[in-house]
Amino acid sequence: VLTPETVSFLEGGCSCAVATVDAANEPYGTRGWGVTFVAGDDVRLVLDAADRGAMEDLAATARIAVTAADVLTLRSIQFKGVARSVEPATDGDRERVARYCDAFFGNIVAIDGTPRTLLDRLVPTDFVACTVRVEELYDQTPGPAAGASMPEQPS
Amino acid sequence: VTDMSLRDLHLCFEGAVPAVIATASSDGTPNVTYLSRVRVVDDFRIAVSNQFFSKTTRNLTENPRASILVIDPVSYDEYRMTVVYERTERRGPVFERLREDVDAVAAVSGMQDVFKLRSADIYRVSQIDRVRAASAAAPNPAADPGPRITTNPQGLGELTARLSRCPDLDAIVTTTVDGLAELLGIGHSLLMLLDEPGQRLYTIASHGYPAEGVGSEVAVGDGIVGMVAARATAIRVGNMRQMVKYGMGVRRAFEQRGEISPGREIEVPGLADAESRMAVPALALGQLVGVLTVESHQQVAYTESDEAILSVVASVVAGAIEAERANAIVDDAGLPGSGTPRARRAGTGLTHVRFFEVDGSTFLDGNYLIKGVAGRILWSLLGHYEREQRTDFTNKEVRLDPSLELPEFRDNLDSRLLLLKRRLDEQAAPIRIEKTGRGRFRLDVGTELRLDGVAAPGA
Repeated sequence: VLTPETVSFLEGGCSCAVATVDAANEPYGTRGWGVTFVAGDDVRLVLDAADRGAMEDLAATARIAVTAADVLTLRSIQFKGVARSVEPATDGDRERVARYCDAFFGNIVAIDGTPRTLLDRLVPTDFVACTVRVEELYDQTPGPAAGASMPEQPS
Repeated sequence: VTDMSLRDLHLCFEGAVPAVIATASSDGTPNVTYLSRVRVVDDFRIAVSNQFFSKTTRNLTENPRASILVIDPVSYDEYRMTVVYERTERRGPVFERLREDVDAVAAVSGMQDVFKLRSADIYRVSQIDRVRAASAAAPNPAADPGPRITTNPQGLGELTARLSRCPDLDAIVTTTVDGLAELLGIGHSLLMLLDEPGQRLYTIASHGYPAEGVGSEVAVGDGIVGMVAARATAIRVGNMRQMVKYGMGVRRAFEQRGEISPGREIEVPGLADAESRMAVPALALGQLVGVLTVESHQQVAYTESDEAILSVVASVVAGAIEAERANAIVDDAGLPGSGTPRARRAGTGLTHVRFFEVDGSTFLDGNYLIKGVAGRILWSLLGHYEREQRTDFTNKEVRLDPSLELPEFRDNLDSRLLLLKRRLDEQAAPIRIEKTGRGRFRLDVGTELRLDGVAAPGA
């Protein structure tokens, strides 16, 4: 499912919106703090460790959707899949969050002029890392084609 | 709704930071996407703009529950709203409010023909949670939200009092933009007047910009200012950069599908990096006179109260301008049909005046000065100056000059003369216009002239 170009996009300084769902089919929105390619169609997604809603949903259904959006062009890709594991963040994950914030917030500061100190207020204080098996990809770029399934391409 | 109300979150709905919506299909597959616009409907409901039929829409028909994240653009506090989809509206006040938002995006990105609101989806909010209390490590630097309009009734009262004392159009437009800055704390403002055919707006005065921009134009219907003129309703945007970015992103998507061809970006007069822009119609006797626009670098700088105050100012300005125009025509009736000849004074240097009959465009030494009616007026005056040595004129004789092709009614001659005067002043031109009395003015030419008229094609 994942092509090198898609991986490069997902690992860049995109905004990262996340949806989970509980056993009663109640959706829940939250934010992700960095995506890293693992292998095959697996990616590692960093989440807020204090986000009980997301943690409980992942434990109950493991279903997850993530939309990554380039804040300059608004090009957006949504991937959907299953959380294979959730574990405490490692030092590497925390470094990944720092790099992600520098890239993502850096883009916002450059484009919108929002002070970095304001953006830092969004950042959680502790994290977990979730390994997601990506099953579906969608072009989520705003416009007439938003939501179209992305064709599979050879890696 | 829990301990917080939608009113507490009002800044979140100004569109400065995109909201996020999470939904789920009936088989339990979640979906997440960004929203272009969310508005408060009442104390318990919000409305979401729907421009494209999407997975979100399909999910809601199967499972009406959703989770929406919003961010306060001033504090960056984040909130999660648990909502239930109630209904879709395709007409009515909520739909119209969202339609204005969507049309504003279309207007700034040249997509009026393809980018339209399809529906307004109404959700009932069952719970609001603060996502994260402000971290001690990241104190709220926006505790002081910075300057906003000083919405004090004294300032508004003083401004309207000053406007009511203005003796002529020049004083009215100057007092408007200067008074907004001095009395209401609005540092950047632009007053545009409607032209005679009602098709374009031209700048007559501004405050707070490097160049006054007198004479710059925008077509009715183009951009935010043009939309305000076309609909005679106010528009308030607190997220200009976000809106333009979103609009251009959508435009690229339409271009890639070949539904619209790549085109120019509409040039919006004013601050290049404005975050907030509010434009209100200036109406008198039910007719549009012009549009008053204010801008700020600050996000979400203006509130509904500010919109109301600016609308009051615009109404007073429109009334004053209409009264002045009516007085000018009455005054003209009592003046002789032509001004008194007066010896021209010796000028220094030589100025090449090039006039294009086709549209009245006028250039001084190759530099664009003005076009349209104001250009024709200057060309006519300079002709009299060269042929008859005349420098003194009356508005009445200008009004009767057939070469100007003025409409019989609502000719706005005084506005055009003022536009010409201000444009000459702004350009530090060697030709100036000086008011010498009610309905009278003098052409002050401090240069030798070389007049060069270019006939219209086929003339």
